[in-house]
Parts: sequence; structure tokens; C-alpha cells
Amino acid sequence: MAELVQRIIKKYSTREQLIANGVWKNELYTFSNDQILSRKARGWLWKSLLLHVDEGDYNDVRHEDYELIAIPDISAEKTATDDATVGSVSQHRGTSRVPTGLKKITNGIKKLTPREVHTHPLHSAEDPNGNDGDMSLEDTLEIIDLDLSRLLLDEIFQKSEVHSQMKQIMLSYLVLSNRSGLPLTEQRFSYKQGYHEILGVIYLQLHSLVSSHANTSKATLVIYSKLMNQLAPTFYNETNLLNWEKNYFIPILQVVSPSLYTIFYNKRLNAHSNLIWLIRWTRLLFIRELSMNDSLILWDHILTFNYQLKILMTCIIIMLLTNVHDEISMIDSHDNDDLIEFMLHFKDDYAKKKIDILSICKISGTLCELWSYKNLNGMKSIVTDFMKANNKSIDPNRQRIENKLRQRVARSLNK
Amino acid sequence: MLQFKLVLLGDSSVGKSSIVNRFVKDSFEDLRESTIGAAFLSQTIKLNDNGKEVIVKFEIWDTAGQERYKSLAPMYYRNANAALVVYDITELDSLNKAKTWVEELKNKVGDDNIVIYLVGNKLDVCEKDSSKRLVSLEGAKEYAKEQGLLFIETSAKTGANIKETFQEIGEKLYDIKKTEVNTDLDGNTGEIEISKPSTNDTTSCCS
Repeated sequence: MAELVQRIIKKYSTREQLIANGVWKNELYTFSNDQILSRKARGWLWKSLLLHVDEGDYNDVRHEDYELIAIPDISAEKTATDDATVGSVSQHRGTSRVPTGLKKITNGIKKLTPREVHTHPLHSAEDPNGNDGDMSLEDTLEIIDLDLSRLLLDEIFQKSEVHSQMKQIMLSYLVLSNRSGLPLTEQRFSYKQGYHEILGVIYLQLHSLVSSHANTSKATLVIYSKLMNQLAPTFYNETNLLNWEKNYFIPILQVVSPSLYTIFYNKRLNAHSNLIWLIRWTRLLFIRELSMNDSLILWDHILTFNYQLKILMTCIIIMLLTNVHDEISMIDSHDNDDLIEFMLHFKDDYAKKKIDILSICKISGTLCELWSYKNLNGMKSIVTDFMKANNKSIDPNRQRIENKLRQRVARSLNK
Repeated sequence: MLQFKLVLLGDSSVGKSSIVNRFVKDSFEDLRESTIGAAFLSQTIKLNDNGKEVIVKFEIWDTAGQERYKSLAPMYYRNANAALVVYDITELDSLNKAKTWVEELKNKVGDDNIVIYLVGNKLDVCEKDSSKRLVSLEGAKEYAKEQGLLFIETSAKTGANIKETFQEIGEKLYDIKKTEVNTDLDGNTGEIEISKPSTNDTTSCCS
């Protein structure tokens, strides 16, 4: 790792050069033949991009605004309340859903949702600005515990000390993003499932890089907060997610690939159902759709923040779809279910067809540039060229008819 | 072949994905990553209609427990023929959440258009230690009866009642639609797909 970092430092004298040439011109990935950066090298890269930390200084993260919050011990108070109000039922409330090995760090909190539901769970508590916090501290810590116990990105997340560390970073981020100034126990939080996986990916790159838990936590918190400041309001707030689809994804898709637009937004079909797959694609930044190495290369580009996340994500998704244009065209779209099924199993199909992730990143960046200049023809031309180069370029209508015929024959044979 | 869309709804970590995994792959993992948005799997079963074999394919939409906001919820149960509303029998609150899903389905889809199956999961935990049970069998059964729901307790871990649940749903849906199917069969020898209901929620984003 040290050798690679030295080479990078020697080659790029400024952070801007590292971003422009190292990341966006893909030079960084040619340093190793298989385009794989080690976790340590990537951890260093992300710190350089987002923390502006020099090579010799990366144990010392000085970001005063990013304060780590101690997890409050609310178990004693909670137990007393339970005993007073629940009576005999409390004797039976011993089945936390957090695995046994992690129980000692759950602060004795056992319930995920309030015993009495005061608001309808389908009632939207969101506001369009992204301030949709509606969970108490207790409920928030419970669901964070639960999700972290189910974080399977790496075995280290099953260690109780790592679990505690992650929980502290998550709570610190939630408090930071609240900016309410209220005492911790009076605040409402907007934790959503998926937050924990994003945090897990960042933690994995940094935990072996810095010397102490505290430094890892601080560095992870800063990088996580900077990413989530763009990611959470756009993709984790449902109102904003709907607006992103309407104002960015659909218009850009319509311009750059009318054929894909027709397939995904066929007027006969329930267009909004595309959000079923878009939710996972956007909220987890592709980690369940691509291999981890390809996802991390995408994350390298995202973390440069050269482009607005909502535009870059749109362009990356469109490029990934373009890469499998032929396969998508062959799906019998009498309703959207087959299409959504394909998108939810994208990883299976993608494994069969190699994605040139560096080209996809590069072209996505170019599309973002062109979008900012409203050069729509240029965008369409680039996507069309890429599609021709990566697909068999058979007429999609012909493919669809052939596919329907194949399905009819298969049905006849199955009778 | 008949095709039914089935959706699983319920609180986080009650075992929705584990139920699907047991039914489709006959496997169980103690730790499963959280479902984000939704997952899709399919499985076929065979029904016996007076000696005639009927194949039923379930398209199973497994949803995230935390997806609870009004604007997106109808996406998941739209056009569903059946819903498994799952709760954890060791967690009282999860039944409350299940009840609100039942209410939502009844209001937005209507009793006539969807078969709702209330499923209490994690039976294995209570079989080992009865003190772990926080939702009584009788109470949940009574609620299901009041609401006109099918009801069962299951264990995705041991597989108890999982196949039976899907078999019963298949039979129930087949019975409901049998007249319609037979009518269709008289004049049509091709594949039959059960007509899909839509939500009545004209205000939803998905209408």
C-alpha cells in the first residue's frame, strides 16, 4: 500500500489532479493490472479526496464539527419504566431480536416499535426538505442494533467492539444531521435501513488504515456524513425520491435512450413501479447490483463530488442499463413485473456479461458535463455509440417478437 | 399454468425473507441482510383438482419491513392476489404493525380482491421456551377470524407450516377463481393468467 500511495503522491501534486486524472481519467486503476485497489489504498484515497489529509498526517483527522456522541445508557431508566407500567408482561420481554452474542451492547433495549402505535405506520411523516425524523432515540438505537447485527458485508461486523463503534458513528451522524440542539433523548431521528450498509462499506476501507478506534471512527464519520449529506435527502426521503425520478431519471432517460424509456415507462404500465428496483440501486449505491470491486470503483468517482449525486447516479444507472440494452429489450413486457424481476436480479445477469466499469464511470461523467450545458444531442449520441458497441444491435421490436414466439413455444412444450 | 402475485408485508426482522427462502429454496440462515426496497422470487406448486393436476406459479414480492410510507406502499401490493402479513410471535409490537397492514390492504385493495393470510412466525423459539411467546395463539386467531383472514403460525427455521401456508393460499385462490378459470377454459386452450386486481387508491403515486 505504501508503495502505491507514494507513486500516487509523486504523480499527482494536488488533490484536483488526483481527482481529474487519477480517478476520472482512470489512471489510478492502471497502477495495478487487475484494477483492484487494496482496502488500505482505497481508504487512503477516500481520505485524501474527502478529508484533505496529507499522506503523513492521516491519523490526525481534525474536523471539529464532527463530534462522536457517546451512546447514552437508557437501560436503567427504561427497565424501571417497564417494571412500573407493564407488570407481568415485562417478565416475558426477554427476546431481543439482536443475536445473543451482541446482546451485551444493546443497552437493554428490547422493542423495535412503540408498544402502542400512536401514528399509522403508513402515514407519511416526511417533509420535502428531507427532515423526516419520526423515531425516538430508543427506537432508533434498537433498529440500528438490529440492522448492524444483520450486516453481512464482512465478518468483522459480527464483533461486538466493531458493532459498538459502528453504532456510535451512526448515532453521531444522525445527531449531526438533525442539528436540532435539543437534548439527545428529546430528539427525533430519521434512520432508514440501508444507512448501515453505506456506513459498513466506508468503515471497511478505513478500519485497517488508521491506528486507533477513535481515529477510524472520526474519519469514517466525516466521510460518511459528507456522502450522506447528498445521498440521504435525495434517495432516502420518499418525496424527494419520487421527485428525482420525475425530474431527473425519466427526462434524462427519455433524451439519451428513447428505446429504454419506452420499455421502462410504457404508458400502459404502472410506471412508478420502477421505483421498486430504483430504491435499492440508489440507496445502496450499487453494492447489491454489482461486484464489490466494481461498486467501489463507482464509489471512488462518486466521492470526488465532481458532479451532483442525483445527476451522476442517473447517468450511471442509464449507462448500466445501456450495457444490457439487448437483454432488457428481450423481456416480455406485458406487465412491468418481468422487467422489475430482471432489475432486482441484475447481479445474476450482469455476472454473465462483463461490465467495463471504468468506461461506464468515464461516460457517466461526460454525460453529467453535457447535461450541465443542456447538450442533449451530445448525450444521446454518446449513449447510442456505447449501446452499439456493447450490444448486438438487433432491432428491439424484432427481439421482442422473437422472444414472445419463444415463450409461446415453451408454453406449448410444457403442456 | 396459473400465476399468482403474492406479497409479504410486516415489521422488520419478523422473518418475511426467511419464509420466502424456506419456501423457494428450502433453506434457512440465522442471519439475513435487511431487505432494501423489495426482493423477488418465484416458485411453483401443484394442486389436485379432482384428479386433474393444476400448476400454480407464485410470483413472490418480499418487501422491506421499514418501507412503511404511504407514497410508496401501494407499489408493493398493487395487483397482488394474496398477501402474507407476517408478525413475530415473540414480539407483541409486530402484531400491531401487522394489523395496520391488514387495515391498509382492506382499505386500499378491498377484501374481495385479495386473500390475506396472517402469519405468526418464529414458532421454533416458543417451542423451545414457551415463555418467549408474547402473542397468544388464541388472540391472533380471534383477530384473524374477526377480520376474515386466513391464519397460521410458522417457523421458517424448521420449515413448520411453510409449504402448507403456500399450498393453502394456492388452493384458496384457485377456488375463488375457479369459475372464472373454467369459463375461460371453455373457449380458450392457451395459458390462463388470473386477472389481477388493482388498488382503489386513486391518490397514490401508483394509480
